[in-house]
Amino acid sequence: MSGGGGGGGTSTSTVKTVPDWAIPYVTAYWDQAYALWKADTLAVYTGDVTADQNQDEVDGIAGLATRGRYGDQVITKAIAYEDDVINGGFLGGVKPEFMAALALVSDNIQADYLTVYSRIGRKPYYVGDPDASILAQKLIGPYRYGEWVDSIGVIHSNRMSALIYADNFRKERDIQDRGLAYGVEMGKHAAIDAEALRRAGMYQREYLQGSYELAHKLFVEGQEIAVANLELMGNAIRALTGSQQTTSQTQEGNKLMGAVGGAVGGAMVGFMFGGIPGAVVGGIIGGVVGWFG
Amino acid sequence: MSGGGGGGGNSVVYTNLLPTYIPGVQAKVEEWMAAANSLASSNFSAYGGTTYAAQDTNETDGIAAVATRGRYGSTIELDGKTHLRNLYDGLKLNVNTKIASFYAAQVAELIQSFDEEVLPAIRRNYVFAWGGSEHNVAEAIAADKMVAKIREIAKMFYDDYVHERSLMQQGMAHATPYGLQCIRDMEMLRAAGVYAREFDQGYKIDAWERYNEAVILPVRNLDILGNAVRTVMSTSRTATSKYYKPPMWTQIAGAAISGLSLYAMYSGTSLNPYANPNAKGGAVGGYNPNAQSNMGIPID
Repeated sequence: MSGGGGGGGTSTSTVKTVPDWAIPYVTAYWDQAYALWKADTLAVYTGDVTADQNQDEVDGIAGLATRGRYGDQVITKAIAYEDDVINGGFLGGVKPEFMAALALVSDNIQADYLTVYSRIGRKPYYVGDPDASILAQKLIGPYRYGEWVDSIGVIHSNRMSALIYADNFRKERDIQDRGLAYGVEMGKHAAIDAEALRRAGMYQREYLQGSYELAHKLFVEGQEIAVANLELMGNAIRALTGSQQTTSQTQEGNKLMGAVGGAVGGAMVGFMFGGIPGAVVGGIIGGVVGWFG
Repeated sequence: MSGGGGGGGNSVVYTNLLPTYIPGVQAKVEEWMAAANSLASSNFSAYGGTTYAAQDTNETDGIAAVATRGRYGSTIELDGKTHLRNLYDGLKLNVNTKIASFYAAQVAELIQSFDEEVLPAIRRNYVFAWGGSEHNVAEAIAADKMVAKIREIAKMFYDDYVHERSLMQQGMAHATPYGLQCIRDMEMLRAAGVYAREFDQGYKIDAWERYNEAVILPVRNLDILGNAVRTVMSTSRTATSKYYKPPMWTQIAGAAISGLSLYAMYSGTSLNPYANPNAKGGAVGGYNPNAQSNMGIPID
């Protein structure tokens, strides 16, 4: 290939790196890649990728949250009781249950005092006593020495009450002391409840997080698959790129030197045939041809 | 592209990059390429078998049982919690109905002894002072002692209270395990749900992966051939060069000039009639009287 004037021109060099015997395979690969790319068969998955929470999981999380937020009655009552014990609420013997137990003791003593009372002082043949029939009863009854006082039953009841109050205090002190062992354990329940509440929230968040991640993955995959479709043709292009290298080198001519050379040549030829005039005419023609040639 | 003439020409250089120190390499490469081409037609195909195992009855029943246990709890545990709540509320105090009966029996025995032993003994002692002061005082004292004994027996109501109070306190040891049971129940219920959901999730992921695997199969098959093509590229190199040649007119001009120059050299003259008088009937014998002056030599 040549071109340009003043002696310019182009050199071409071709390097082919694919063996001749492999050209049918390369061509087939190229054609298949192109066809597959244009067919655009790569499509993102359209199915459901996140499983729904079922009712058991939903209820479990809700139940856990409720438990964590509002606690448990056993724990609540145990804490209230133990707090009362540690604060000495049982020491004074003022609890209704204690009073009821004490009443059972006192009432039975006084009731059965009457049983005993009714058995004494019978057939009283008391010499000189105008009211001998009740002398023995008067000795232990509420009316003694001419005035109403506590009966023996009441006295014994009071004695027992005093004993019970004292004994109750001592025993409740033991319980109070033992109760301290549960203070720390009971005190931790607020944190345990809070952790349960937090965990319930975290379970739900983990599910949501998982669903978000899957949706994100599917979204990205949808975008990438379009690129994958394009890339299969890109791979084919990359594979064939460099299989043939054509290098063209344009060698620009020097018009002035061409004109000079043409003029000299023309002048020489012209001089030979026409002397000086011929040299002049030949030089002009040769110069013009050399400039544009 | 121009060609021919002027001394120009093309060159072809072939370079084989496959080794020849192992006989038959070229043939094996071609055989391998053919195999790759064949494999690329349908090597990768969608798997038709099962890739996600179904749950068996044991698993589903187990999950259902865990869910049931978690949702409804355990009877023994629920009863225990009820008991503990009542215990901490003091509802177990003073409810022992057997105490009253036991007390009545004890007092009845005492009264029986009073009737059958104590009073008769006193009356025997005072048979000759019957109804006297000493007799009545003795009965009153005996009655007092009886009531004192009754007092001690009646203390059993308090002892029962103390016993229950002790159990009430001991019940604290069970508060935490029972109180936390509902958390475990809810965890169980949730776990049952998660077990089922994980299976469903796995099924969906498996379906997704299988779809992706199937949809990319044509590309993977094509890549077999593509990789083979990339491999055989550059196993040989053929370089063809076509060099630039001057235009035809310059070649003709050069040839003409050269020819004329040779002619002038061998003829010893010029085609110019002024320079060669013999050629046009000028100076005789080839002598040119103006030659010396023409050549710049002075003429004598």
